[in-house]
Amino acid sequence: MQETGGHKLMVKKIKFKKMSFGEVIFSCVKWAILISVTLIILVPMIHILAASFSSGSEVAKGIYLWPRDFSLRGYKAIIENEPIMRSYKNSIIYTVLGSVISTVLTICAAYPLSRKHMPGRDFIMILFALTMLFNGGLIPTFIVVSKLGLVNTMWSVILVNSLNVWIMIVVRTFFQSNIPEELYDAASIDGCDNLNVLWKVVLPLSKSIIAVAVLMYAVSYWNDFFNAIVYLHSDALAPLQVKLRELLMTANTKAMAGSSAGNVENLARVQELQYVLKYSTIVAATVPMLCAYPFVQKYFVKGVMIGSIKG
Amino acid sequence: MERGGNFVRKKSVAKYRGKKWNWMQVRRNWKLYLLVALPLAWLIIFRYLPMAGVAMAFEDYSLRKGIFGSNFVGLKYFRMIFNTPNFKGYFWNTIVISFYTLAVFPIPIVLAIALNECQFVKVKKFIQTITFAPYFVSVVVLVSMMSLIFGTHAGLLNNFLGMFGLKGVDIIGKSSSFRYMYVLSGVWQSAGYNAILYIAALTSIDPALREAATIDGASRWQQIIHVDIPGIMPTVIITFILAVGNLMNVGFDKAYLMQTSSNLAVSEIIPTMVYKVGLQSAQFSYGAAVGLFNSLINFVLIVITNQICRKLGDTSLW
Repeated sequence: MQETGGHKLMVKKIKFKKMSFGEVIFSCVKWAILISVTLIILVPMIHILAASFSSGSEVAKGIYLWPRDFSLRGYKAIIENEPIMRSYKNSIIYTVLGSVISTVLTICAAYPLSRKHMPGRDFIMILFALTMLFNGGLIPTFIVVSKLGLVNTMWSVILVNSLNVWIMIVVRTFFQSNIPEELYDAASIDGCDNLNVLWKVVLPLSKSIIAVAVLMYAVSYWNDFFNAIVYLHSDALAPLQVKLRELLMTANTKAMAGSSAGNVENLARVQELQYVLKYSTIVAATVPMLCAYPFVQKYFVKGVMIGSIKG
Repeated sequence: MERGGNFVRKKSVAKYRGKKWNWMQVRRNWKLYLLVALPLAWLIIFRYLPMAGVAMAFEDYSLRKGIFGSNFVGLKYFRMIFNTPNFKGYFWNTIVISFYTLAVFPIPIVLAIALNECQFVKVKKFIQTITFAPYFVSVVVLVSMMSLIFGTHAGLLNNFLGMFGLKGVDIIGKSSSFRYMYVLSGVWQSAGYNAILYIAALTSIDPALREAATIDGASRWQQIIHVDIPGIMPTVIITFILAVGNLMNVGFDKAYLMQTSSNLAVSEIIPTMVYKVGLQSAQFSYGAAVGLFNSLINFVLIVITNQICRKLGDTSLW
């Protein structure tokens, strides 16, 4: 509230009823929006988290925010399930490799483009920006990848979306606005050439934006589903999302739950396990990303702000 | 984003302006060019080469013969597109979903304004963190969550209704709910993420403006209308133009995952059709033609929207 005490008093005297009534309505609306948004997002997520820690029999009933009949059965079933663990490993490999390669490519593009005195910089920038407006489409891209012999190898998934021009622009803008020219001058006086400057000066100063870039790439690799089903055909290469889909959305759940539980005694037990397995795999698939997120949230918000306003 | 026209002008005027664009500079910065060569190479291979591949749309493409060996057939496949029995349906589905997606465009803005009005910093940060979280949920997980929550058998929603003695509703199965679920789940996932943009814009509004408004006796509501909204208009417009440019790129992932036999009539959209016909049935030329058709529409839409914004105000993409 920016009103000074005196002003408030004055206003209150003149428009007492109208002001406070309007303000009350306003506050109500504002809090209604904020609280309902928070609940809509929190409740499903907490419920799923709680359900994943419950044993099967209670899962089907009611909404609850706390595990009923606490058990780690769902998670145990995941660990015992070989295909799921293999896809988990695949996802980790793709995500780590992909994020590293993507971030390196991004810096390799953003740094030169941030140097104002580089001739041809505008032209190269346009080359990058054009791809945001117009792209070849699924089929031509698929043909290119297959001609390169990458179909059904892990490199297809990693390389096809290696560079996100949007993220590159965010990083470039960061370099441009946060690294003063004087620093470059000082470094060159000390005998640094362009590459040295990047390594010794620019990167150490850009830790926050690099964290943002790494996280954004990591999220897109970890959550990728489309590229995996287009380019990866063998089961051994499937990432977690693809396996998840098999598990959660087709009728194969029974088979998968059965294969991990070994001797299944009765149908009811399998059905319960089915349900808990769904919840626990959802949690297992999402937790890695959600864990990383709070650490970089501060930088993330700043990064998105910089990139979008200036970009 | 720089305008292509400007660049051309700059270059020819450079000599007269005495700009220091010369080969000395190029030689001195050779390491920079080396650096940027890597991503450029990637760009050419994975982005520009496929663009050239649109030639496929005009030929009877066969994998063996390649682009240069296949027969040229002109607009055969484009004609085929329009003659495909359900094409109108797919097109319409794509357009309707895109339209709904645009319709919920203001929601992150409302959220951002509401958050901005929140005086308690800790609460504000907390809510921001919470609303941002769904962005990290993958599409697969999102669609599964939807079926778990809205499912008939043991869904959260039906249990909730059951607690009040109400009969359960079947949301997943019905095709009429597909579009709403599609768009609303998108809102759930991205509202917080998109709101960040607007929150940033809101914080950059000069506080002196707000003080002036308060002194003039504006209520909080009036402040929002007259100070906040005009302040973030440039950001809103640019985001809007970009959103329009993505109109026909209605996401493949979610639609594909949400398809069931009963809702195919509304859930089959152009990207999923390209995937099924173009890739799975290996009708490459046809798929390429549809993809090109899609991209062209996108491009035209974004140009039109940009021109409109140019005429109406002074913010536009170029």
